[in-house]
Amino acid sequence: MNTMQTTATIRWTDDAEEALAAHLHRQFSGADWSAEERAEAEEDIRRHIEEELAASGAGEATAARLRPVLAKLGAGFPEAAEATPAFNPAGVASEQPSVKAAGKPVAIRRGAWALLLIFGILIPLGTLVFELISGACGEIFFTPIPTYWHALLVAVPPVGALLAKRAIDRGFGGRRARVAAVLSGAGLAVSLYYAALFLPLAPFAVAGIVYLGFGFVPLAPFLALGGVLFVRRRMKRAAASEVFTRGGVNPAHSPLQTAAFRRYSRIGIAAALVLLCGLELPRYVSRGGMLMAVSNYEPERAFEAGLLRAVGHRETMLRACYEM
Amino acid sequence: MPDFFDNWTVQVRKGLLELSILKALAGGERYAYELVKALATVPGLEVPEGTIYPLLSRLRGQGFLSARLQESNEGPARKYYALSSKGRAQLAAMETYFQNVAAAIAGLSDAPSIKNP
Repeated sequence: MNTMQTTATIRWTDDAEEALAAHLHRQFSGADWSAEERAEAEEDIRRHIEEELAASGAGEATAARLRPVLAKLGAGFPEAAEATPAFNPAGVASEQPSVKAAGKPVAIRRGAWALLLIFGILIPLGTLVFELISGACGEIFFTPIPTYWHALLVAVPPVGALLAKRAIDRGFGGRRARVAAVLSGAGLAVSLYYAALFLPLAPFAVAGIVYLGFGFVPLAPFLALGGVLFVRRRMKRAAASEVFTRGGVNPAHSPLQTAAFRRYSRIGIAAALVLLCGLELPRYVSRGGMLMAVSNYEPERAFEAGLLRAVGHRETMLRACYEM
Repeated sequence: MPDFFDNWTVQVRKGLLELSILKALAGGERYAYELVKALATVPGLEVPEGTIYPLLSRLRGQGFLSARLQESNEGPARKYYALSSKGRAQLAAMETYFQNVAAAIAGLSDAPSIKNP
């Protein structure tokens, strides 16, 4: 028997279609169902939902009406705890089903995706490439990307946003969701740091864009930060919107739960902070040390000179020679 | 201990689900929605409703079930599942196996213990 079409007695809104698609993805991703089995089961589930809605007198399937029906349908058989060690870190198994995401969209719609792509991904990445090639900001103000390690860090927020979008589209489960969670944490730390660094230039950048049509370089960290915050909010909703906290049909593709999302996100934040400290501390120590090295107080001068010789950042000190 | 018991029941329920589906259809064809509702509320079985549809599809693909659609005035077209002759034979084999295993397990406590000489 081929798959059959349901009678169109219920009108489905886009939100409802998205909610059902996400639900079916969670239910079937990674499981060993054949395409035919899956197609037929999906059609049966859709018919089941329409039956429930028809019984309640609803003529339209909306995301809000679908929610209780999908909760009863469940995203698969709850897995035995031993079968899901990778997704049962302390605290996850004891989590109660969450309805925090109720009423709020999880999927990133086309319009939002276009804005995210332009302002949260393409402009930050384009700015990075522009600065690497031209060194424009470095010539005028300061060098925000002095090494390739810095370039790598600056690329994390837009790349993380891109991965987050893909992870959310694919049911927010498996390795892709874990990587997206780590990168979103790292992206948050990096974009906050660079936003703070460029904060004094932001008003001039806005004025430059309004009056001259350019000035995106100093605004890129803020745009990247906006992109990261947007995708993190959607990822949190995706993580909180699951009904079964012990995973779906295949534990390897189980949706990432809130506790796990936070854990991976913190790993990303910590990793980015360690890298930022490793890369930036010598520069700040050098700046501070140079100021103190010209102190009138001899012991302080001697101490800072020794410190600069030991850990001073060579390029920062050389640049300072031309600033004085 | 509740964790152990919960995990054990999950495995048992999983194993019994296909048998339950075949058994529920032994009396004649049933409308899928009603069948799923009935199975989801069997005491002790209590499975999420969505779990049953993929199994129905798989059992139909294996030739144990047949399905047909019938228009309905009350809502979407209704899908009816029925046991095929192959499914009936499979159910008989599964029931016999299940009863034998249950009887054998029940008899374990009555078996004479092996005493050290």
